[in-house]
Amino acid sequence: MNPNYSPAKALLRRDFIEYRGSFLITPVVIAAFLVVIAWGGALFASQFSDWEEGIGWFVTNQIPDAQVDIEIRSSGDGLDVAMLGEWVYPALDNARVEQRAWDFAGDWTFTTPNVPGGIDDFASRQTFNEVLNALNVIFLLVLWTISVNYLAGCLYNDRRDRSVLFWRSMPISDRREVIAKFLTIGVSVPVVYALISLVTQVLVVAAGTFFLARTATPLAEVWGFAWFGLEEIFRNTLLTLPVMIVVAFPLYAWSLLASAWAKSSPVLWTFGLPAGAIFAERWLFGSNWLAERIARCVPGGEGYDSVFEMFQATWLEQMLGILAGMCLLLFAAKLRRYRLEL
Amino acid sequence: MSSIIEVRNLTKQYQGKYAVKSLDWCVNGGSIVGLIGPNGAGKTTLLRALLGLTHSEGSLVVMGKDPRTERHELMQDVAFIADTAVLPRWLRVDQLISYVEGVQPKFDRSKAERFLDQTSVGAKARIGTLSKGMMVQLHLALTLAVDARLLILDEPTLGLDILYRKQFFDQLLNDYFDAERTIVISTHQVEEVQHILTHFVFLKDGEILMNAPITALEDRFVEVHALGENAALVSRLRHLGSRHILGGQAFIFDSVPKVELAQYGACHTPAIADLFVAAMDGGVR
Repeated sequence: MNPNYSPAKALLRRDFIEYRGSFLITPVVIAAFLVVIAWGGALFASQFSDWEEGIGWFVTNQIPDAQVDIEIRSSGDGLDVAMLGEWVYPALDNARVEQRAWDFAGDWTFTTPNVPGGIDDFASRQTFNEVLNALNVIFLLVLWTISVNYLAGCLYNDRRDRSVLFWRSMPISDRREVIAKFLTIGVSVPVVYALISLVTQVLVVAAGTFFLARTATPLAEVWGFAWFGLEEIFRNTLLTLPVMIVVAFPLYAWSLLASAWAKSSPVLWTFGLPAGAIFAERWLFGSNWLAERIARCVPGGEGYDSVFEMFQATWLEQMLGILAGMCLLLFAAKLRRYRLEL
Repeated sequence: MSSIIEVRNLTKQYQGKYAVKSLDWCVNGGSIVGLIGPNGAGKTTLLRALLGLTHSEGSLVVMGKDPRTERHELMQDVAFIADTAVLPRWLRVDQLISYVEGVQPKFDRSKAERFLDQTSVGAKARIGTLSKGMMVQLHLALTLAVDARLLILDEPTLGLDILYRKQFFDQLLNDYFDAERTIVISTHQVEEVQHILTHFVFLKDGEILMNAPITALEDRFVEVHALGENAALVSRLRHLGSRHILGGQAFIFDSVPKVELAQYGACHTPAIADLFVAAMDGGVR
């Protein structure tokens, strides 16, 4: 036996070569783009306030003949200001401000907002968590798109270009081939996407941390922010990954079956048959069970935080889903045995 | 040598039409069998059935296994080259070699690379950019590097120029074939395989028309070149087929002693292509 004999590895590597663009290059490019934006913001946000000061200096010093006398003052005490970052005319009540609204002879000041007092309040943390979740959702959406593309084509394209005759001249059983296809798209690729999403989110949290550190937030607050962000990443990415893999299994198995079955346009089979079944159900029984069940199979469609929580809540449904998925996979393997020509 | 392929009553229908019809066939180890037939004769269907690549009825034993249920085990000892267009075009040559190495326990990478070194196929070339001839060289290199006991070739040289075809068959004989191995090859280019075959099978409409060792060409068949009036005399005898030659006709006879025919003209050993045409024309008349 040759020393490099390792079918599982060879099958996985083959698919990662064929779909390198959608499995690796696409998420890495998206991650790079997001990280550049986040770090650009962190680095240049403080630059903008420097520029603001610069413009203020220009206004006050370069227009000596101006009729209005504008004093722009950066003030941290905030004692004489009613609102942050607004033009105010101090030491006057509202009525008098109205009266003297167009009298620029007075002593106007502009006050920059106070230095952020940290993000210890719950609301701002929540906001940042939503940013992290949105990042993860971007990866989920891309993952979903490339998965549909892969699933529809993986047992169809090789029949179309006739390379199936080559693949099947190798000592790999149909069952092994089909299971390998599922493990690629149902497990390996989500793991890759989760890792890339995780790195991206960590880098974005790092950018936020850097920004806070630069704006002289107390160090304890900075670390609190970073830790809170990392916790959220762990929750939204790593804990939900197994949930996603389990719930998507029946849907993916169905798509593989459609791909092995189709003599033309596998995407139509993948979506058409379930869509037809959903309409039939609604028409015959007036219910929506199938539509809801399928919606829960979409990666990210199930709202459970961890796989334990999900199994506690719906273990019977999940077990039936896994069973159905396994039957569909075996059927796909059986179909593939003789369904070579389009 | 024991039989490598045993087919009994093999039948395959496509939408009510027989592609292979109650076919019995036996191939012994250590032979090179040419499967020769016109388009649509069922050659490809028969070969695919042998590999478990198509559904079929009847008894089918290849190297002691049923290819319909034990294909993946069978393929450890069997290599298959369909025509040139089946290699995955998006892989690089070295990636394809790595794949075969990963899934085929009997693959010898250094052997494959040695074969490829003799060709102009580069290791980093994408398969889609190779010419047809180079693809066949690559496929053959992969196949020869597997220590397979049975090699099945379905029109392997389709669309290749004569230089590649000659090289292909030479390599097959020199680097692969020995008394332990068996080759089944289907082809249109009858003349080119004649010199490497030990047996030939004529297939027509899913049935075997003739199955004989290549030595039968010399022992069993005679081609008489009857010139002038002799042609009319010979045409009355029971012959397999005839064709026009300069100044007369050539007749092919099955199992008629040469001495009986020598009076009508010069006797030759028929070419396999002429025998094939004669057999396809309807057999004995």
